[in-house]
Amino acid sequence: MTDTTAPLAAPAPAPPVRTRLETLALYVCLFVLLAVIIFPIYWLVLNSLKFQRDFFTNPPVYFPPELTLGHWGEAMGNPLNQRYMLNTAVVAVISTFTATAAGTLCAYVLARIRMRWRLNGILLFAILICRLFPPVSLAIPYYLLMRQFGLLDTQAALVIAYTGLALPFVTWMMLTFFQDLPKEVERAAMVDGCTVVQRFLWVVLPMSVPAMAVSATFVFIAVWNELLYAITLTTLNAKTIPVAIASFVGDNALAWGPMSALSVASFVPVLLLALAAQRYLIRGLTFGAVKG
Amino acid sequence: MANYLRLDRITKSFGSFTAVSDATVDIAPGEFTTLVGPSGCGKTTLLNIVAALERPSSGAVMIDGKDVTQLSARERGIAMVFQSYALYPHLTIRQNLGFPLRVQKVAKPERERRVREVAELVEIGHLLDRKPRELSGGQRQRVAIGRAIIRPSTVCLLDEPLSNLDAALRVRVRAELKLLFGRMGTTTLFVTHDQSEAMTMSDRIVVMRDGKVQQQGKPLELYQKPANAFVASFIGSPQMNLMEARVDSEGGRALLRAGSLTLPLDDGQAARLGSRRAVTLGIRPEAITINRVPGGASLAARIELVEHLGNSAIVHYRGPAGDQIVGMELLDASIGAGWSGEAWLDPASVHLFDTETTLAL
Amino acid sequence: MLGRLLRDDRKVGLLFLIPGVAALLFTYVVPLLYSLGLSLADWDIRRPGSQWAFAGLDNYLEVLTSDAFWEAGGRSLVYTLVALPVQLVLGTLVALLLTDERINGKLSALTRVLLLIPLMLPPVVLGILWRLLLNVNYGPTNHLLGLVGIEPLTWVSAPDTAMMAVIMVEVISNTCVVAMILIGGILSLPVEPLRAAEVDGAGPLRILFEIKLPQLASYYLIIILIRLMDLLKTFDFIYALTGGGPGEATLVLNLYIYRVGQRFLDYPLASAASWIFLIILLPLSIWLLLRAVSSSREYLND
Ligand SMILES: Nc1ncnc2c1ncn2[C@@H]1O[C@H](COP(=O)(O)OP(=O)(O)O)[C@@H](O)[C@H]1O
Ligand SMILES: [Mg+2]
Repeated sequence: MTDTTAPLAAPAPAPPVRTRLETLALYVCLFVLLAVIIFPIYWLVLNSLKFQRDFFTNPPVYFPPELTLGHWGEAMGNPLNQRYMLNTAVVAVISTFTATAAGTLCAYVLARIRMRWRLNGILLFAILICRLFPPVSLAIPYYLLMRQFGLLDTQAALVIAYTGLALPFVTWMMLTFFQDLPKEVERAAMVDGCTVVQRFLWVVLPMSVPAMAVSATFVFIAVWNELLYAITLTTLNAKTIPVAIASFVGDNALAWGPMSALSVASFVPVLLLALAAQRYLIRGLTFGAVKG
Repeated sequence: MANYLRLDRITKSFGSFTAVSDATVDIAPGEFTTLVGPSGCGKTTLLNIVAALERPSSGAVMIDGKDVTQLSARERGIAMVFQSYALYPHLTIRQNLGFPLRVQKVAKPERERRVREVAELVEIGHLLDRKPRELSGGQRQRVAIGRAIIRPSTVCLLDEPLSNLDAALRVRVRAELKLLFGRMGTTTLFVTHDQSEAMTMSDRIVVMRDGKVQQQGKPLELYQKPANAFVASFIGSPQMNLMEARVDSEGGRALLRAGSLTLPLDDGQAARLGSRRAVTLGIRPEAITINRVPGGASLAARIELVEHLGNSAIVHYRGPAGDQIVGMELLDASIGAGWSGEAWLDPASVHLFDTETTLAL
Repeated sequence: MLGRLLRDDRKVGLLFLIPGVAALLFTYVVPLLYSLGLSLADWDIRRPGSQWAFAGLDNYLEVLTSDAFWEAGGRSLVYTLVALPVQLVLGTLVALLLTDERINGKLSALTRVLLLIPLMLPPVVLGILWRLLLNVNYGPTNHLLGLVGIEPLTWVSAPDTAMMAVIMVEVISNTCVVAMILIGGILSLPVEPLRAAEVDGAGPLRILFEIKLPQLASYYLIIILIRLMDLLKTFDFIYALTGGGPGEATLVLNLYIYRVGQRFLDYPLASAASWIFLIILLPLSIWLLLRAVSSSREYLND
């Protein structure tokens, strides 16, 4: 087309040099970002597969000619680590269940039943306040109380602490969910003759399964990764994987291989769960404040 | 007439806002009653009070002579169709229909039988194994109605069940619903904001505005004898012309002057005016025509706009004083915008309302 | 009897609340009261048979007059106030980068998924991992920086650089949170105003600052609330990365309280310190709460 009087209709000219430079700069930034994300993980995985002789070299070995599964064998074959793994799983599953169940019930009442004495407002306020406490301020009384009740170094102690830790989160997430759920369906159930309990079990619960699964996923990940309460409340029997990983730090650092292997092993379940819940991630990250 | 459902001086406040105020409504057994009024006037609130989904701030709900104000929805034996249909999203249509029976612990074979029967009745037999989200709006609406009629109920409540359908479907379903409920003989309270639905479907109509009941009666009663200016303008389409008129007299006869219109009154009308110097004058569009009315009044007017409906036309006139008035013609191809001449009306057909209270005189 | 109870909404409501309220009672109210009592007591767990004795505000006075507490508080403040703005800015840049139309859509979608990695990494593993990466002698960071001509840094092994290193690790891992939330926000922005601005001849910077970012204000508010809360609670990864050291260089308040309690076993003192921490946090907490509650007024039923 040679019609220069109609610039709007003219074909797009080849992008000027400036635009191409900008695009190039963007890709450089993207590359840097990818490197910062991927390299550390690569390094961790690599460390779990390197031979011992490749650890303490300068410059470091980025692409070792040979790899070994020896550290994995050592880390995963260790019966203590197996036990810690099992502890972590048991504690995470039970406390995820209790926190999700109790939190969902609470949230339902807060969202749907107007209690006496402005209980709804008071409870919500209390729950939000609880979310703000730094866990450190609770760790010491937990330790002393559990000691008094003979619960130190038991899975029960961790389950109690983690239920408390996760309850405000679950309640808040489920509250935002119930609020978005149209009331009319429950009203229909009321007209159809359901009592509150039937309404909750037959109508509300089946509709809430996805939301509960999302909050449960977040709780599970948080509990699986938790260190402070675990290190305070357990010594051996109920020890969890984060504590085991952290304790490598103490005995100054020759066991980098097994430490890396254990770290990777503890990260894999979390990553899989996070990938599964990806679609709802933003909602979880912002406690339901953003619908994502 | 036996009162089957009686709402006795119901008032409902949300905080300082009064959604329903002092509403008294009587419904005879088997009657199809429509609650009509503009959006936000408290229709849903009143319906929820009947269904025990809300507690009234004061007043009583009586069914069949018994005070049921303190009873729950299940104890009142109410059935209800919701505006959004409120189907259970996680259940199939079969389970949705059977849900009220399951709650009442009806045995499975009996449940199956009733579900199939009702599904045939509302013509959704082929959809029973789908989930609600796989259905169109019209189909969902049928499921909602099926769920409401599957068990015996004292009163069936319908909250704007047609408002989510497209226009053509709405007119068809309107007739079907009327037939269905007529056949079942259930006492029905139907809510709509659309006066034409109310007029076409109801045995009786209750008109509400701002939480207050304005008038109740048979459709034609409301049309012919509106109790106040609001009912007059709300019922009937196109809307009644309402204008402020001065009372005057000429040669001993009472006259109304409103803009370009001068209207002689007969003795009965004049007597109803009393000592008022001003009234609100209401004229239905169908009372205004370009054809000469013997013994009628006329005004000089120009046609500004003609809206053709096919079988009739809505005519917008403008008088020399700049006032607008709407008339209606059965099909007459000769009229068109720009025509000037005389528009005629029969003085006996006008409605008179008190300007202050808006009540009919 | 039971039937009647199950038909009364409020009674069932109370029933439903029992597990949650009991959990709150046992995991917050009782421990906090216990800790309050402890903070007012004179008690040494190491002396056998030692009983609680009322000590008035002695522990509080001791905390408030100790340099260690204020230094730890100062470190928490520095840590929070540096990390928060830096990750806000970086997170914004990353979000803009990954929503830029000039970048291949598949590539940026993939990167968005990869953002999950630093985000979900267990904090302990994060700490351990950076311990390896930042190792002065054998870690790759110094070596790689050396390749572009930067002198080796001491990172977490020297007191004067440790806090910077800790903040850097925190920023790297949580920039991803900020970016992910903002990406969600940017993608949900309506396109018409952006197109309209382009048609009106606005430059890219003007579009960014006058159209995109203002619409994201509510997202920034949420991010700031959440990050602030979490930064003030940080314990796990610093514990694994530096343990508060070297010396006390990265001993933020949370680690300080933990150290006083679990290492030196001075529980009354640690309790007093954590109550002072709570009381200092209170105005901030209440402000956060009011924001959260006012944004969710409709969530309540009364
Ligand atoms: N739970 C409630 N709290 C406060 N106001 C309400 C509530 N329910 C309804 N209202 C108000 O009451 C008025 C009537 O509502 P509604 O009965 O739904 O009107 P309609 O169904 O006639 O459109 C509206 O102004 C509405 O805002
Ligand atoms: Mg309504």
